[in-house]
Amino acid sequence: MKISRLKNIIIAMLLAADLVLAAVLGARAFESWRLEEDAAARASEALAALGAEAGRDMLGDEPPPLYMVEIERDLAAERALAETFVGTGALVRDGSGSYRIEGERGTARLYGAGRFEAEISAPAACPDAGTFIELAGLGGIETVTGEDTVTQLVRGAPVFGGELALDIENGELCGVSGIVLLGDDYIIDGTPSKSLDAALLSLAEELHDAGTPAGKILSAELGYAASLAAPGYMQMAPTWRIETESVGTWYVDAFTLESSARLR
Amino acid sequence: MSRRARVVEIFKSVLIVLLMAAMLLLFLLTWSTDPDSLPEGVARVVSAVSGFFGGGFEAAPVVEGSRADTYGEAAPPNAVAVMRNGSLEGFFAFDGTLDEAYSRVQLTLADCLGSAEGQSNVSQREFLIAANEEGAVFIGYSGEQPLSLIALSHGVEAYGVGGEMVDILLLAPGGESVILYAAGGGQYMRMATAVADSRLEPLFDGISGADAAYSSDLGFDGTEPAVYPARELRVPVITVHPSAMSESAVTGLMSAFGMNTESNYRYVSSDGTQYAVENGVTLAVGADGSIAYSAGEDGGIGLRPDAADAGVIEFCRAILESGSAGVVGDAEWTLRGFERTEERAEVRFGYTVNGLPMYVGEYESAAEFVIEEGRLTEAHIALLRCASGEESSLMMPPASAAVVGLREPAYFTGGGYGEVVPQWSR
Repeated sequence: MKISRLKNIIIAMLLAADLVLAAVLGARAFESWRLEEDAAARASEALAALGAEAGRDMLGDEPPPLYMVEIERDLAAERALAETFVGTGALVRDGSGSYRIEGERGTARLYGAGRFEAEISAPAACPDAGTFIELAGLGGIETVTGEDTVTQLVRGAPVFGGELALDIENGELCGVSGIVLLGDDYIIDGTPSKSLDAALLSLAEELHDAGTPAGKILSAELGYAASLAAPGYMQMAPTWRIETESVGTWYVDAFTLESSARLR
Repeated sequence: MSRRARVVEIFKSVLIVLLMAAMLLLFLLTWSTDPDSLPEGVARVVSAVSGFFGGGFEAAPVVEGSRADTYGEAAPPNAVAVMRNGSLEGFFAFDGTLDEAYSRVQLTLADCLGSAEGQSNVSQREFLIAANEEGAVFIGYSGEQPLSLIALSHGVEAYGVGGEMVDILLLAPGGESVILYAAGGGQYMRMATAVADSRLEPLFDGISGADAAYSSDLGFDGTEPAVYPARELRVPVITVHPSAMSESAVTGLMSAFGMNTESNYRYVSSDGTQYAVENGVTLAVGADGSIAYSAGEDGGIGLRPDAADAGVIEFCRAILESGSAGVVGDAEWTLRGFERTEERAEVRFGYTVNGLPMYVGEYESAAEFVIEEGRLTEAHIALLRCASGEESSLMMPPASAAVVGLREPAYFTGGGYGEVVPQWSR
């Protein structure tokens, strides 16, 4: 009986402790939600004053932060990708950082800054981008596919400008061109990317000062954009891609908040 | 004990275990709002659990240092021009149109530099003929720098291009693939590339530059090709002040010169100069922004003994950029001189504002570095804060300046402070 009573006491104590912790957590969650709502409302007002309009759902729904990453390029993997389509061939150094592969079924070029081009003289059966990923052996890297494009993902986020355009004619792949960076990626700076509120306010202010207010913000996405190239490496900076109704698509560096209508 | 009582006891035991597990989870979730207080391994477990329950806690990422050797341009671009529909369009630093134009060129330029080969000398006449080809893209820099350094700053190794000092690049259509021209110090070079001509055509889609002309078409004789607005030359007026050497500016300099920012060996002299002394190295920071660095026999930061010219220049540029970050305002640093022997190298930089050189007093350079036997032994920097305002100055048209023998627009401070209006120089 003593053990039974002791168990009752322990249960009561544990229950009380759990309730207290749950209450603390609940209070914190509520406070956090309230602060986010306040911040979103303030950001919305500030944006409106600068001629930009963003939905509350967009402002209150932030993705996890991204960090500055570096990709150590893997020439062997890039060569394998090229040879998948043009066949095996000697790797010819075209200059300092560029290579050419004269394969049995076409010519591929790999440039120093990650640009990849392949002209395929004997087209491979390839009805869509999904098939291309299978054929290219790109299953190992994250990608999203459009109708005739493949966009690279790094750490789950899209690489803006890191896109391969596929020339598909009658279900056959005749050419590939664009940018793909194959290799190891790792974080080189632990500073998290700045929030969408900050990016939108910075962009809206710049556009407002330039006399071309942003108008309605149609969408915003956090991804990566090439920021600095070094021989064999590419540094990728977290970047917000913001689509506006009035002035098209803009890119805002999520560290420096510098904005540009175009990628490097 | 009855069977019912035994079941109740078992239930109580299970409940205790569940409540303890719940308490542990709630405790971790509560703690997780302060992730810095968690050990890294625990933080990852909490992150996973928190994510499972929809929590917002993100464990700090694993950060590795950069493995890349990165380089910056030792002289920023000041003009980009494109020959389009038979006329030249210019994008300039002083009218704010350069950044967009240069960003559009960079990837193609990198691929051209990366695939350049077969370097040969050509005449100025051949260079100018190529510059007038439809689709040709002219890129002017604010000073000469090694061609290999421009390639490295664009992320490509420089096996196919040399270390010649150049301040002009030209991408001209060659029939099938782009021909890369480079010019500097009166020399003109030509290189074949693997970049298709077709990549030049869409580079400037959607933007247009000012009507522009090459200096040779404006009457400038005996000078290197340059691009100017064809008619009106309007350049911002700047203001120049001594740099305020705050505590953060001083520690920024100490850090740039590889010194311990927590050092106790610091003092201020009667004239306000701040000194930091460490392992035979002395850094003197004057209240007016004059910086003097000197290292004794064994002190001073070093660089790789086998560093190429581009590496030596980048070593000094990185110190200068890092040490003057946030101090010089709208000014940029431009390489103004580089001399190297087997044991000694001298690297000089000057200011560029709005793409125009700014001469401090009678001096072209505002920063000088001396490297001996692979160590930085001496450095002098004159830090100034430059601000480009709204006001601009209408300068003599380039064609008129050419007639009276003037050569380039520049800012001259005369050694003083205050407003500086751009002028043509001889």
